[in-house]
Amino acid sequence: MLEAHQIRKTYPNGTVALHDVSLNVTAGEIVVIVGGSGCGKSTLLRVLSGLERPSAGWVSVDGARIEEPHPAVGMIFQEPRLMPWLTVRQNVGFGLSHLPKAERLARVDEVLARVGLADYGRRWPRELSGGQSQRVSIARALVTQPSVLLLDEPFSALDAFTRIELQDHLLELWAGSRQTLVLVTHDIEEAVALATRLVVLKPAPGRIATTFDVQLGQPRSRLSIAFGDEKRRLLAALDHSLSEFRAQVSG
Amino acid sequence: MGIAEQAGFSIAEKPGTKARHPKRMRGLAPIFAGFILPITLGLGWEIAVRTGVADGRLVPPPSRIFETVVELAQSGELLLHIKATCLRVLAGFSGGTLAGTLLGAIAGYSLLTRRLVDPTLQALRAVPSIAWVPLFILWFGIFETSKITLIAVGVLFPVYLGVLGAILSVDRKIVEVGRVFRLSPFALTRRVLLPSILPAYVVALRGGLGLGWMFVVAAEFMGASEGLGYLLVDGQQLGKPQQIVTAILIFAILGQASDWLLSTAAAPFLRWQDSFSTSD
Repeated sequence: MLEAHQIRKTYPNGTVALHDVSLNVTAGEIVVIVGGSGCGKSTLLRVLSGLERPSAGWVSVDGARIEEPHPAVGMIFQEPRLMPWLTVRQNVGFGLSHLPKAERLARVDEVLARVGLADYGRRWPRELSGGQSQRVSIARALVTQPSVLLLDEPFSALDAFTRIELQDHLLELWAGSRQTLVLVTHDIEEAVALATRLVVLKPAPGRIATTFDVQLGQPRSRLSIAFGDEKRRLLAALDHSLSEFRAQVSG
Repeated sequence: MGIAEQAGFSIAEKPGTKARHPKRMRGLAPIFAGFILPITLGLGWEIAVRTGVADGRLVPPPSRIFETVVELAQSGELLLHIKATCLRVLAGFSGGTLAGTLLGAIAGYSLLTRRLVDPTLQALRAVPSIAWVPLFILWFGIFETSKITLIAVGVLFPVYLGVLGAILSVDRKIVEVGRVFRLSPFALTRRVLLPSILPAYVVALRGGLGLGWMFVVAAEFMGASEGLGYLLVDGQQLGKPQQIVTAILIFAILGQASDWLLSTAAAPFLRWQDSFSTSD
């Protein structure tokens, strides 16, 4: 279980990025954090990952405090961030250097097969497409078997078809392992397609506007009426949170 | 003119990168094409001198140069001079590289050191290195120490700048991946920083090596009893242009060969970067 308690983040220049954000994520949930730009969603994820320290409040995973990156928490960034000087296989095994070689290779090959890149182990990152690179970066995060996986707009740099393909793929992977996923996005369709629970943030300072459970089972048809209803519900919530902000700015 | 250009190679060309040739010149043809101009000029001059159109006293024809090379080689003198020059370049290049790498690494790592050291080094860099010659002779005498110091100073700056620039431009996003996997500072250096600065480092070393060859000539001009620079001065004083041209040719060959050696030695580590030859 991932717990964030009254997280505050104030930057040295005085900007309040997050104000008293609390979030409890139970094991196996897919929590999608949605919000307009500048509402602190990426900052929140970076605090959850331990890459940034909150100014106040704390984060814990299964009872362990997260103050810096922790083996139980994996992170997938918007860009694949692969090491260009390592092959796909070496990239995936990057976090496994403490294991003996045979075990490392076995785990790398197993996870490469799971993300559908079994034949790509010897390639260089520059030889991969954007979607393949992001799969490698997912594999690199999965191979250390973290209990919580954080994803910071992981598919936003991809074209629409690849994005849908990878969203479905992420759900397949999740169905197999039931890891806890916390994903940040500004794509409403992506949020509704993936989330078991939606968290809507509002800006200035970043706070939670509302959270609600998505009333859809898996697999979800993006064309169904119920899917459209959930999208509208999310849009309305987002619009509400932003209109409050706009009123604040103009008033 | 940038350091890389002074040193005689294009900075855009990554080590190990094969140039793309126009379709009509495949395989070995482009290499042969490069020989056409010098061979034609050489042959033309040879004929002009032999037929008496030109006297070839100040501009010796290829056959005279070849004779000089053979003479110098047979007396063992050639090898002696080549060896002396190569050893100086090697010692100066090693010293300059070591100092430049250390200074660049320290300044790159620590903001405080960078603020303290970088302005001074940048100011010293603006001094044409030959301007140090009189001072080095006063300090270290006219023998090897002053020569090697001069070469080392010439090599130091491009290497320092290369290392510093490479460290400062390391992708913060990739370093963050290292943090996510909780690498120790040592592991982060070895597994993320070193590989990512290596391409720029090799370029800096090649630039430094080129300058090393430039400065060895200056160093040998300031009084040497052996070395290719001595051959140049000696050729001028005794009016032997064929000896000067011989030394120039050998400099060209040695410079190219050492640059080739360096980039070939680095190539296996930069295979990932080699984007032209393997991409489909």
